[in-house]
Amino acid sequence: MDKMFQNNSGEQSEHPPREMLLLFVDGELTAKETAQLETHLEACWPCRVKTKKIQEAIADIIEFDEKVLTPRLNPPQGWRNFDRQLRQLAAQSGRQSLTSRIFGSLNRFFPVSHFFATPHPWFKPMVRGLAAALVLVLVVALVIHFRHEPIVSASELLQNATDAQAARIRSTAEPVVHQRLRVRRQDQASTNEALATLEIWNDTKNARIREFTTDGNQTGSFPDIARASQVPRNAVISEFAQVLAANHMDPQRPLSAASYQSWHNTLQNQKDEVTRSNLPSAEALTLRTVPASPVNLGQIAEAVFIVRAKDWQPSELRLHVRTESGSRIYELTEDLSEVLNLAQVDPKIFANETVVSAPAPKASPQMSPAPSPLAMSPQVVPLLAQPVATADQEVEALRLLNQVGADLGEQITVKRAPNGALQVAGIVETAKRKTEIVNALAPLSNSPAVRIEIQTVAEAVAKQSNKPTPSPSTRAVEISGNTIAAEPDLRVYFAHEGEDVDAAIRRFSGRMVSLSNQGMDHLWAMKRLLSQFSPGELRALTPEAREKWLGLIRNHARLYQQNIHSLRRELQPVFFPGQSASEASAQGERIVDVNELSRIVERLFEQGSSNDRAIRSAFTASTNGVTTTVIRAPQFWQSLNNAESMALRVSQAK
Amino acid sequence: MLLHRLRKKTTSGIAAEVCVEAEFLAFDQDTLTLEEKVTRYFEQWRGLVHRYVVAAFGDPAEAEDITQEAFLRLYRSLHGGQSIANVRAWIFRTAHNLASNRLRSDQFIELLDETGWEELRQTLRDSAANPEQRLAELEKFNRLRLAIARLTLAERQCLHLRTKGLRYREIAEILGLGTSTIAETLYRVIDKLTQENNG
Repeated sequence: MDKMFQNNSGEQSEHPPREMLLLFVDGELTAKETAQLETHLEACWPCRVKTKKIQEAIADIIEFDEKVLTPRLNPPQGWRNFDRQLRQLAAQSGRQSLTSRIFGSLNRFFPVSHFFATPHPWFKPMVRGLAAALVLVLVVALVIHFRHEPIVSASELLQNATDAQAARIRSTAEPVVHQRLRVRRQDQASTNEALATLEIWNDTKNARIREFTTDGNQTGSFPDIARASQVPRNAVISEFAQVLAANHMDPQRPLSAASYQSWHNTLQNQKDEVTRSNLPSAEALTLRTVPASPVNLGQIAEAVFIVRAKDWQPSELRLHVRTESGSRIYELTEDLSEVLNLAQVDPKIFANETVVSAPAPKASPQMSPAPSPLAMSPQVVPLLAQPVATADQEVEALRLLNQVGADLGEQITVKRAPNGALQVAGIVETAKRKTEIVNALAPLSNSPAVRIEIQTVAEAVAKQSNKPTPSPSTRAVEISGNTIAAEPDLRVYFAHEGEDVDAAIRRFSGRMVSLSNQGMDHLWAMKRLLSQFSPGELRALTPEAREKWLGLIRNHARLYQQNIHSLRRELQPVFFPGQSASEASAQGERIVDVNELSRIVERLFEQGSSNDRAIRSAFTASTNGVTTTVIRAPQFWQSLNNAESMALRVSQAK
Repeated sequence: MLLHRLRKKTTSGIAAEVCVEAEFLAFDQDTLTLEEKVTRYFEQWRGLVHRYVVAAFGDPAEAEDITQEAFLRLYRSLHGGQSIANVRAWIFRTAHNLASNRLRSDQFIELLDETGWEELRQTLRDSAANPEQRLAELEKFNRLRLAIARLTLAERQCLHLRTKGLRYREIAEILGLGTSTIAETLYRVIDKLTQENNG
């Protein structure tokens, strides 16, 4: 049945050559060879044993490398010198020449230098000539290519527009954002249209906002500011504001990338299309978004967002909203947009508004639909003062917390509040820990969109003495004198310890429970990371942020896998002397999609939790004298194996 | 940018880890200056390259300098417009060549001589779970240590390049040998190390 293998001397043999087994273990065989060998291994005991021995030898080598060699090799202290040397080198070499850059990019596609290195003297000039011609053609192609700037993706467009807006605000002291927007409403089925004008003044520093609305297509400034507040709200604008609020857009900044992004984030699946077009005044980029699934009444069935190509300034927003009779189109165009210094603004505009020194943090960070302030009287709403945080910043916050181990069991949450701010809030035990975490978050603390509120328990208690104190999750592992279910086995195992046997049992049990606890922390961390973003938000992440996010999950999975591996290594001699404690291997295909990842982590979490329960029931003292334990069962050993293998799979997710 | 697509399925844990690191580097390279790119490569791989040079050539004093020089050469080459498809292999090859030129094999300083081993034995003693396991682990490590010390230079280089996560064709390129030679050499290494383990 088996195909024959050819050994090194060309002879046919029914067994593969030994090297082939190593190549197989190392994943160096072709798919066909792998399949052939796998078929053989299924049938052949001796080859399977040989393969297993190779794997064990590799495991030993790696263990030796990690535990013995690597710790002996202190990394050099002088690495810092490298930066200086590199800087010097860069200064000496000057700017990369244009030709080298062109060759550099060409080489990415065609390794031209390889041709030049061909050691056939008569062949060289010909190849050189050919290569030169090819280069010329490609240079022309590249020049043509670069004259057409590539069109950006939807998320890039929104990100750039958000950044540009933030930059405009930053560049002015005491900035007041003044916008005059025209609103046009039209039903799909009729030619009737309603027009209105909305003027927004937003004092970002003092969180004061003032809006004026008029009917029709009024141009110029609103002359009678004092009277304007007594005029009833314009009906078109009120309705438009409600539509925006219902779709998670921001009625106070209707024409902003952040508002659009906020709606975009809520979509599970959508089609985005960016095109280049010409506005009367300038070149523009148009983003058109269509939700993939049918939308409900009042929801946006199609949205168009137009920004000026030169400065990313939003100039138009068009929404097709589903109504009972079809759809209603709202068109918002920019008439005027400026960022002024507070001193340049007529004081009467904010005359009735109170200055708020700092925006009050929202008490409940749960997602709630954005308020509809336009429908209310203009009042102090610190919404505009709050630049919107990006999902990328959210990932960065998660990564920074991970670096100081603050994503394991501590009560620290990273959330984007409905007003767009990124809130990193939590209660930690000591002032020292607080400093550690705050320092770790320092790279984000300058961002106006990020609010960091880390309190110590003492501070939290002082602040909310009337509310119940959230207790930080500390889990002391305490093994007291009562019965431990696994004790009989441990007593046999540690018998040779003599008088120390009790102490040995206590130490061992404590270590098992604490290992299992640590493992659970990593499982929780993985689960939290997965539920941090909706599928829509994940898609909107930049590749860099997505990779960072995935890296965090992989990292926790790897730590969990190591954790379980340590557990197995310690449990094996006591409870499973006949089993091997070598590292599990990842079974199944590499995980490449988020749904799959989510499913596996969920399964891993269930399995891990049940293992954790088994371990706690076996190794913690109980007063009811339970002596039966599942810890000896082969199923438990299998379950640990499965968990390790799944964790390994997650740690290799792509 | 294409790095992650070139990855193969790996079975050994460490190789997978290295690939993940490589993948981390792969993103968004085009927005970085050359200096930033090289600094990133350096931060990513200096530890592995340094460990390889020390383990294979046995001169910790020179290894740091060789490692840094390899990355500075990377800068020069990229700056000069050279195309480097596989930067990691390129770095290892450069460091390997530098070390081969500078260090003669008779200068090899055993990373773990008897005194070093004794020191280590003390620290390892307290780490393992129980006395028997502890003893078994120490014995295993000692056998591996002696077996590795008896490897030929080429065998040692192959082994240490593989433990740093390099694939066979990369090792072949670095050592200037054929891929099949690498497979044979690595099998010999495994064979030697397991024989020592069994006997």
